[in-house]
Amino acid sequence: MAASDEELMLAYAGGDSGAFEALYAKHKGALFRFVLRSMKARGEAEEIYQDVWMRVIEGRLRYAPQAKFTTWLYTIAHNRLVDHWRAKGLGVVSLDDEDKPVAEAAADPGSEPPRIVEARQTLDRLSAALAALPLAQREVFLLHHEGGLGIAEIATATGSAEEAAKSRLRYAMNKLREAIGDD
Amino acid sequence: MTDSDDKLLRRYRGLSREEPPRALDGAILAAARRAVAKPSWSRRWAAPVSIAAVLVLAFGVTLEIQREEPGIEYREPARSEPATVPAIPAAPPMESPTGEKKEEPRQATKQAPMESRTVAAPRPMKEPVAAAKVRESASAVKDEPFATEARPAPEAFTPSPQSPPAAASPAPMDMMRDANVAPLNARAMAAPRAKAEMSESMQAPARAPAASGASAAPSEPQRELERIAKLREDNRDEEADKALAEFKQKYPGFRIPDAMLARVRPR
Repeated sequence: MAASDEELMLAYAGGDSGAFEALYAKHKGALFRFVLRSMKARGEAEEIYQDVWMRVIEGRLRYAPQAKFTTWLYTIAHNRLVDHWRAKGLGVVSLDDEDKPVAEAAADPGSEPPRIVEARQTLDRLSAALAALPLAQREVFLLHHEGGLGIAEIATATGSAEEAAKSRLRYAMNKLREAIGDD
Repeated sequence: MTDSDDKLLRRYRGLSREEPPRALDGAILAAARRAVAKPSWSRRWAAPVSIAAVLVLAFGVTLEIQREEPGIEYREPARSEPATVPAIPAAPPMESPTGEKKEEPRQATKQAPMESRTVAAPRPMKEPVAAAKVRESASAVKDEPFATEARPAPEAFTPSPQSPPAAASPAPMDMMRDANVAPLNARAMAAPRAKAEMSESMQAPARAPAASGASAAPSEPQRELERIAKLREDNRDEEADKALAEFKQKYPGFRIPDAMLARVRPR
């Protein structure tokens, strides 16, 4: 039976670098996409992504398995992103209720078959709609769909109330559905 | 989760699945390995070995310094003797300190009164008490054969700014006492080692006239030796031997100059 994330993290804190490699392989993609889609610039995203893992490494001895490892990991990521947004003069909550119209992605007609073109256009619209979501809603959506966190864990990671997390997720889903024409 | 949520999720999964660059993976994994890697032997022992090396070096240097300058800590009291001993022949001794607050001068002046009371008394220099004092001091100043001559002469007197008000109008004796104390104070002000040379140089002017004064009035041991030499010259060897034995008994630490030794030793 494979070791849980929490066991791997404790093993790493005890000096087992192989445990960290297993943890990293398991979570690197989701965390990277969470960070990347929370921001605009890829370079900044890579910097923040590396910084999050460095904080995991430095905090290994303070880690206590009171919550899921992913909750701890994404809490670190959330805090790092908040620092970044604050440095940029942005706030998570202030943009929470911002109701921007979702941008329409420009479809490239090209010479592809109509179904493929339609699927690509749908993905482009979804990507653009995700990028256009308010920061807090986008973060909740990414934590839910990339990090695999439940409402309670999202509330813990973002330091908000469960109701607020649930509401933000509902708003985000509705907007994205509207963007891709699924409503 | 509703059907529309599932559909949205499937669409979302259809977005490109970005992964971190390999270089970033490598950097993070390397940092993780470094963080839990056990320090090497050299790194673990570097600090204790360095401390031990410094301690050994300091101990060695201390030993070396002591070997090169033995008894450096005893030299200071020995040098302060001339300020008190010299009172024997001509100059009066110092009786009281000049109000110095430093420890060293106090120690020096603590010894001074007893000696000065003894030597300052207007008794002939041949008195046994004065001789006993000379004997005591001679052991301390054996590397200065005629240390008694190194007494500052009254001309060397410079009024000390720290002198008590009572010394404002000093009698001749007081002035001479101050003249003795002044070099002592100067020595006390000097640090034991670093300023030893400065102290030497400060004594020099005071000693020079004193030496000339001493040549004018030979000390008791000198006169004694002269008498023995005279006995030798008169071929009264038996008396000379006896006198020399008495002299050695009387001044056990006195170092007879080579020239004088040649004249007084048994043939």
